[in-house]
Amino acid sequence: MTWLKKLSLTKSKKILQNNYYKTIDELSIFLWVKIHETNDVYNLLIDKNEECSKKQLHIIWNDLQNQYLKHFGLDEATKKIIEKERNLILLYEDAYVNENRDQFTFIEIEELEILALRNKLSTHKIDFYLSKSKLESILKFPIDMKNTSVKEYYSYFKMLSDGNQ
Amino acid sequence: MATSDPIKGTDIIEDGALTPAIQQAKDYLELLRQIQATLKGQLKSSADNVRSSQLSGDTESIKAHTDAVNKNKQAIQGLNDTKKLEIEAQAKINQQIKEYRNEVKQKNILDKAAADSDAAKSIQLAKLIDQYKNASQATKGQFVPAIQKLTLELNSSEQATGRFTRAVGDYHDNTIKYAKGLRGLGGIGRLAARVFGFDSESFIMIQEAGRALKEYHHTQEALKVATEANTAATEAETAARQQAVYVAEAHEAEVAGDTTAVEYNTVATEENTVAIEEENAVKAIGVGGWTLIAAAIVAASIALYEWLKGSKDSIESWANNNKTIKEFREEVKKLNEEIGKSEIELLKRSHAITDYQAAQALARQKELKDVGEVSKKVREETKKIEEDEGGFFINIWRTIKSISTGGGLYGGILESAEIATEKIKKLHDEAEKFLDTEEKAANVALELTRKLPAVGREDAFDTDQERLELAKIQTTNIKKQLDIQREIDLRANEHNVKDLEIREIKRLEIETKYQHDLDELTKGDNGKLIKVHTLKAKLEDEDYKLRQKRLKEERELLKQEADAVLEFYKNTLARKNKLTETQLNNDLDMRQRNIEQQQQLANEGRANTLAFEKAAAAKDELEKQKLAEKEKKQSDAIELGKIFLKIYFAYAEKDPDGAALKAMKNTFVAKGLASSISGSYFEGTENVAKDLRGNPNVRDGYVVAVDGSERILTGAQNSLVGNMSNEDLAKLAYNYQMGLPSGVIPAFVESGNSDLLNEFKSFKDEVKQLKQILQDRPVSTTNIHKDGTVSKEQLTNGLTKAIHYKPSNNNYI
Repeated sequence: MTWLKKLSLTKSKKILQNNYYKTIDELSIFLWVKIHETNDVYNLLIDKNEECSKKQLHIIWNDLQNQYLKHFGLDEATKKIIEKERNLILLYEDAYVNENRDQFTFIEIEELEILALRNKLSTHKIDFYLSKSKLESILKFPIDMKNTSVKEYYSYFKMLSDGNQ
Repeated sequence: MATSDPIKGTDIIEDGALTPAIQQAKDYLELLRQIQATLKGQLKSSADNVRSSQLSGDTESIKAHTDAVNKNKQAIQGLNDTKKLEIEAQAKINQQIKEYRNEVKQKNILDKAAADSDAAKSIQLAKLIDQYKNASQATKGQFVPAIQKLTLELNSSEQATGRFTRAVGDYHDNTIKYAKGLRGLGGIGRLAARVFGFDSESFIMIQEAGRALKEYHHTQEALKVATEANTAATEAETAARQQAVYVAEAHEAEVAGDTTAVEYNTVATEENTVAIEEENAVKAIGVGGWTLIAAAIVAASIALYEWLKGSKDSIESWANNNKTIKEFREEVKKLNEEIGKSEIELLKRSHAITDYQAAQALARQKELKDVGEVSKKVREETKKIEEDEGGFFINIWRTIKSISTGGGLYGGILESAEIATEKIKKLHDEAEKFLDTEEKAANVALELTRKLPAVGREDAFDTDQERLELAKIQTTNIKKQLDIQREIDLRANEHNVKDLEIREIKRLEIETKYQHDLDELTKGDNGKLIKVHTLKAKLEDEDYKLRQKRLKEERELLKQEADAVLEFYKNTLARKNKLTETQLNNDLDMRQRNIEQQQQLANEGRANTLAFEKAAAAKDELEKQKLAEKEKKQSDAIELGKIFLKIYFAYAEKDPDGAALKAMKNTFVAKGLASSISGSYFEGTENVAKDLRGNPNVRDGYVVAVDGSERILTGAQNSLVGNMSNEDLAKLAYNYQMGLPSGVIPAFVESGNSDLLNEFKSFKDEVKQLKQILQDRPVSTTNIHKDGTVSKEQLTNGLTKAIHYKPSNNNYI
């Protein structure tokens, strides 16, 4: 069966090299949003008729997300959530393992704050098109989602964000 | 003999009585704790990862972080769930332990009551047996019924309570000892037991026993023993019945496989062995009590039967020489019939004993129930005594009153001293009884706490143990102090009484000497009479001074005694109250812990006894409050008593007769109680019963304070006054004294009431008008003459008008 495996890998390699979006420069913001909303990683394929395993596409999707994170980093809300969750882990340990019952108050505070941040983030995601409209109103030109790459779209945001600072 | 070694209540509860349930709970808790340890390890591992790494910001690290957070959530959920289960399990264990404690406590109370009852009976039995031993043969019989009754009661009690305290080891040693000396007698114990069981082997065993006896005793000697034992056996009938019951029950229980029954059987067998192996059955009756008496009847039966059976040869020889064979056979037949009757009689007795034993067991059961009720009554009585502390003050008052009213001061003091002695003893006894109860309760509680399984203890165990140890030490110290105080008080009191007696004797000696001298002097001539009077006056003067001095000393002594009694009473009450308060505080602490625990259960929505614990805590708080009020009342009573005594002794020197009343009045005045407890005529009153407190059913039932210028009327005089107020009465008397008119109208006139004056004027006008009307009213007088003429005279306002009537012209002129 080695030959079959080799054949499969060769085919996959070929597909990966030619028929999918490799970078966030190539992937449109339209597909980015769509994949986020539907979790349908097959949208990464340029040629929809090509065969490819879902696992491979997930690897590609992770790679694209890493590119995004490397370039733009985590947003502030997510950063705060993760930071608080890490802190929460330490508080849990102190409260339950060391039986320091005073920490339960701080645990409750952290949990409430995380919940509030998550709600805020969720609202923001739902209103993607609202944020896009605001962006367009600031930029004074319409954004074609299918012809605007992810990198380009979020660069606008970054530019405005840096400008505000 | 059996020895008395009452089983302790705690011994009744077997070690590990709660083991199955507790062990199951322990295993469950251990499992929960293992789960918790695993979950805690997971939390610790996550925290270590957080500490050792930084979030890189790529998707893998975020994913790992998310996984860690989710796992932590699961672990925490698991910890919370296991904690809830642990609390629930712990609560169940505590509840079970609590029930266990209550059960043990109840058993201890019942056992103690039963043991006390049995101990008293054992002592009584020992005394009776001793009297029986020392009594003559003729009078021994009168002790037997009482010995039998007590023996049966004791054994019934032991059986009812499951306590068997026979010193089996003694019987064992004795058995070995006799077995060495009496060959072949080792089986007699078993034999005796079976004889009383009346099984099918009885006759064979009786024969064996008879042969064994023959080896040891000469036939004639055995006959003598048998004859005497027969006499004794009649007296020991009931004792033997008891023994038979022992054996019969042992057989029954043995069938049931009860281990206790084996003990019965062993005891019964060994007792019989010892009894039969006594060298002389008759002596055994004299020294042994019911066990040896029982042995005596065994020996008697054996010997009698053996004599009848075993001496057949000699009887035949005797028959050949003196009677015909026929007569001999008839004699043998008669004897056999007698034996059969004896056996039937014994069987009947056995059945009667069984019935009697059952009745005794029922009676004992009832007695145990009664013991519970008696305990309850004792507690109620004790509480009543505690509450009746005011009676103490009344006793002092009565004592002092008796001093004032009768018997003289000396007699009163002696009486007072006796009463004080009794009072001291009674107070000490009550206090000791109370402390004994507390000490025992503390011991029991401590013992129970020690016996608690490890699962139920936790932190509370150490605290409880320390608290109980402390309470025990405190109780012991108080008891020691009480003993010392008691000794001091009693000795001081005895000394005072003796001192008084010595002085009284001296006074009597002086009086006797005086009388003697007087007699001597009056025997001579009249010239000595002056000397007699002089001497008499001198002696009387000395006697008066002596009496005054003695009275002063006696008063001082009485004061000291009264103060000492009051002080002791105060201290005893303070100690008792302190102890009660400590107990209440301890209870409250315990309740608070329970409330916290139950509150936690309630918060988690689980079954709990929060309401009960809170109600119990509230009850304790109420008790504490009542105790504080009680202490205040006691303190007030003691204070009142002190003030009373102080004032009494201040008055006693000048006015011994009225001192008590004055002291009472001034005590109330000093304490501000004059208006509430007694009464004062400061404001005056028309009706004493209406305004003052007192007992109207006795003469002079009201204690009042009056001023020197006030007046008191008798009830009869006051009834003449009627409803008139004191104020009106006084004015009326004043008017009378001053010659002024009396009545209501002058009083009104004097008061200047214009409305009433107008009304009076109007009234006068009306009278005037009425008078005029009366004057104007015509008054007629009619006369009928013989000729038929009728004349009428009418008087109107002083004028007379005459009218005549003649029948002929039928008109008036």
